[in-house]
Amino acid sequence: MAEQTLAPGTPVEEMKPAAVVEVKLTRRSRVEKWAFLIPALLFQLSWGWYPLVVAFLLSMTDARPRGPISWTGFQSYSRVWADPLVGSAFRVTIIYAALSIVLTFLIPIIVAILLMEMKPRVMRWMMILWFLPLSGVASTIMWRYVYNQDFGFLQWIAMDVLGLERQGFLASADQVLFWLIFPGILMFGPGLIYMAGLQSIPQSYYEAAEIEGAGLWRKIWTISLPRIRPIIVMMLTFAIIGSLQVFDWPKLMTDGGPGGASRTVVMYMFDLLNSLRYSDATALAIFLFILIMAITITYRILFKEDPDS
Amino acid sequence: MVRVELKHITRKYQATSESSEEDAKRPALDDVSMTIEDGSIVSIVGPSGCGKSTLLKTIAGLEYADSGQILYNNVDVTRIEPGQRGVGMVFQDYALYPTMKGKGNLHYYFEVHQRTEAEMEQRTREIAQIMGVGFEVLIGQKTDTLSGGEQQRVAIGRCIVRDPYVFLMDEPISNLDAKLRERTRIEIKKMLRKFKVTTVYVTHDQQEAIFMGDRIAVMRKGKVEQYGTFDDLYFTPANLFVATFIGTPPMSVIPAVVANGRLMIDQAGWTLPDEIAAALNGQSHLRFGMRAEGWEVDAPDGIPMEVRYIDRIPTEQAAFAHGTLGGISVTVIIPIDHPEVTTMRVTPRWDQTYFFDATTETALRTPGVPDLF
Repeated sequence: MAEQTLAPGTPVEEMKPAAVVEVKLTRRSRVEKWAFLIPALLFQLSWGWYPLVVAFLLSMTDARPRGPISWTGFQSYSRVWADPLVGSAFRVTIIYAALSIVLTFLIPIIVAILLMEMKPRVMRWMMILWFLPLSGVASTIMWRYVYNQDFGFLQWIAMDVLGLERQGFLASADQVLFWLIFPGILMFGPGLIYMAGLQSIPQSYYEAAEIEGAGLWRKIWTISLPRIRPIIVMMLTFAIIGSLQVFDWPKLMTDGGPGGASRTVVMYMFDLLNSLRYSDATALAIFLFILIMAITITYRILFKEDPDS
Repeated sequence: MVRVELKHITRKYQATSESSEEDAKRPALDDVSMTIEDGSIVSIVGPSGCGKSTLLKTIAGLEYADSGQILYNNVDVTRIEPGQRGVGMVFQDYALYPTMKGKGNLHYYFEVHQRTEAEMEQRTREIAQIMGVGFEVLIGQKTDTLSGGEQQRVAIGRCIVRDPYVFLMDEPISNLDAKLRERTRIEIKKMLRKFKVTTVYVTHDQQEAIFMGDRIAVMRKGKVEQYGTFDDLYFTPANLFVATFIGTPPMSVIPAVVANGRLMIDQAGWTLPDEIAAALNGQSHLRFGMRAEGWEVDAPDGIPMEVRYIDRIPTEQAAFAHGTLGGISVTVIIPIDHPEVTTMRVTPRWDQTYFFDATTETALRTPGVPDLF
């Protein structure tokens, strides 16, 4: 340590202990970063990537609950491809996704924008009324009653109020997908997210537009929508992925009926797993994975470019 | 161009989360009347919450008066929509339309009003010429890539591109840094001179208000306390609030007592000249106001002031002596070569004294606007 003592006239560079501190700091912060990252990373690897890889491997085998497993290559893929029920499940899923996005995606945006035009007091009340959080299972029970063919609320409207003939609702193969989506039209939950985005727009934007004589529509088109565009893009991504993977709601409401008219891909996958056809189920999962990836990537490419350039 | 007249404008407070209890009780604008002459620039200045922005928005039509009238050249526009009034407004946060280029912002008005493409391009070119160097480049870029000063230039361009009758500016430069603020306010002033547009300029900064405005309105709690030129406000303030609001360093206001023809501060005092004593209506307890330049130092009849420190300002060839008199901070201008002291004898120059009523705070005696020319 004797050499460390500073003699008069020591060059300034030799006097700084700062370098030592710096090294310590970076090493420590690197350790901290990894300490925070590792649990999340392990979770993601064990519950996200591991099942994905295993599913892919499993789909190439003749996996069974017991007995030896051997590689079968793409046999399960061709079996699934030829299965008529798979085709119908994909058809149902795509119709369901398209219908649900067309019918339910735009409404919350419009509702949110119009609500923002109201007076703050009215707005608060409307938010409480419209964005009531509902438990999924509770609303299932309620909607099953609403759709009940014999003493349901909708049947009453159809027969006693409108004077129509007896309707099938969930029991009708033609109507079942629409009625599954119908509750989503009445729920504006996502509207809250748009409202949060709209609330962050400074009032002066609208004032500037008003001074230039812009009306309500022009203000929405040139200020509100461009400002919440990133939120819309993100929400639409989630909506597309979510509706293509839909499982619990139709499972609880119809269990795929009538006659598979509401059996989605994930529901069929569930059925395959239940009948212990593991390799077929995973092959189907890979098909769905490819479909969702393709749609999402196409969509991201379509919406990447700026609307004003 | 237009003369703007406000007649007895009153507006109830729109409670927001920021408003205090006390603010919520009084009107945001309380019987405001003023006339803004054709082509003149009026600054509205006051502390935050005084109603200056509300007044500006009422002139623009973004908010409506509960009672009273607004006239543009004797035409009643009180109930006319902002888009129809032909006003241009510049905001503190620039409020450039998102996701549009600068040019799109300038074109917005023409698109709303379905003007021809040719007119739009023509006007934009003209404005680019007026706005000077680099403006063409600015409006070719997306607004969120511009700096604050550049955004404000585009915002001002957007405002003048359609030839407004009245130009309204709501703290347009307070988001800029000090150096840029200085430069921008000179630019704005030059531009306004060139256009001769009737302008209302809102700010909380008295120096900015003085620099920009031909006339200045000082507001407090929804009322216009005084409306006049800088000289009016400086030499004949209507009350204590205006007197202390205008002027740097601020006026020192000392509680004083008149007794036996002397003006007493604590135990010491000066003999009060007769003409001043006459102006005080025989009131004995007063507020005695003095600006830094009104003091005479080291005169034989001076009373001692404790000096806290002396602040020498070479560019002004003077120094500020900050001291205490009667328990109040007082600033006195002294020659720059004045020696360092701990007490200093000070005497008011009587023609530069201000006296205010102790309770109503209205002015009893002011120096009056000097005849300089």
